[in-house]
Amino acid sequence: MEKKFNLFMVIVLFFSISLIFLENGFFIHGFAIEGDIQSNVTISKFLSIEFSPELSNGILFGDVLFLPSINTNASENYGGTLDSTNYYIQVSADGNVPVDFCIRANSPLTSQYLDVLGIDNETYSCSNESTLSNPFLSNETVLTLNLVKCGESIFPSSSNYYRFWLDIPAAQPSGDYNNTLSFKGLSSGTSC
Amino acid sequence: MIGDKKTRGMFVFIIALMLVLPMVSAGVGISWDKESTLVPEGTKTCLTYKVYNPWPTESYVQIKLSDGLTSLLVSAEAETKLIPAETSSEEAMPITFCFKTPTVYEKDCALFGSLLCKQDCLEEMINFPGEVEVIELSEEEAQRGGSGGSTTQMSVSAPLNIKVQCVAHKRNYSLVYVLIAAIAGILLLVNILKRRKFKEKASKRKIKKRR
Repeated sequence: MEKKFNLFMVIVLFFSISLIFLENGFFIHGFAIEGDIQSNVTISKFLSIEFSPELSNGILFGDVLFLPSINTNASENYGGTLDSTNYYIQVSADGNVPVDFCIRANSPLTSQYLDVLGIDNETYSCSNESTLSNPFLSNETVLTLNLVKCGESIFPSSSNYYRFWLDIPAAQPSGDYNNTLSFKGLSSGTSC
Repeated sequence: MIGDKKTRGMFVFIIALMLVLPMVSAGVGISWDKESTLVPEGTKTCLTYKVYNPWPTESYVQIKLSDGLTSLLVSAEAETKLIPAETSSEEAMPITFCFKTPTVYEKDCALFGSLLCKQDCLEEMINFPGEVEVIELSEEEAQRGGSGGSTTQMSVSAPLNIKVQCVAHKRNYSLVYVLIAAIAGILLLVNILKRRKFKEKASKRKIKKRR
């Protein structure tokens, strides 16, 4: 009886171990020979942008002495040659894709005493060329806290031009107001 | 008179500096050859992006991932990187990120919700869309005056779509077989030891009887 029990246990042990091997495919070996030719392509994209020196230094509206003030020009809106704008972003020639630009404000213009000039008072317009009138005031868009596209398919070696305006209501408390504008360059056709 | 000359010289120097300084602005570039990646769930994978700066001023950049991807981030290289001026796209500097994809697909487990599981992969593939953003950090804050204004910040970005691959597998009964083998082995061992002890006792009794 005892011998039979031991024999049964040995058989169980043997089958269990065999099943473990079978379950994990240790006994399965396959050999296949095929004559395939691989087709391969690597698509690389690269882009680089640079602020104009004036844009790099920030968008300044100077001292506003009379209120209310409507469409106050940023200091370099007409600072370029033939009254073109000095606010632009260049797309490097060392790039292989056209670039779209997105813009947003991190907050409304806010003073150090936390007085806020509503975000809809700061506006901008953009264009892929700059003249006395272009970017047009008539195309002004209110800044938002979310990224919005302004400037599409700007090719390497060209620039995207901007003008900025500010409205200041008469009741706005005096003070220095600041915020940060972010400009993002991305491969054309990609969403912000 | 000498003091006047010095003052005049200083004044000219400051004016010259003010004229030159605003002409300095740095740029930033990104190079990539992958916009989506397929990673099996629960595995770690690393991606490399390259940053460059073909402009005449060196720039400091910071790499950031969009909100949808930050939860997957395991490790990233140093947060701020200096890119020397005139670094062309051919000399772009690599920056590596490592991700670990979460376990997102449901498994059908027969025991305690986590043992003897199988995965059929009938669900649609889960994507984590996002982007890699390289932000240029200005060394100096913009000058402000009067009613103030807006400082500016620039960045470039590349899209990145992480697709989590479901790895289908049948229920693996190895654990059950291991348990059965272990039980059988223990019972066998106990039985053999018992038998040996019984034999030893029996032989001792025989010896005693003979004496």
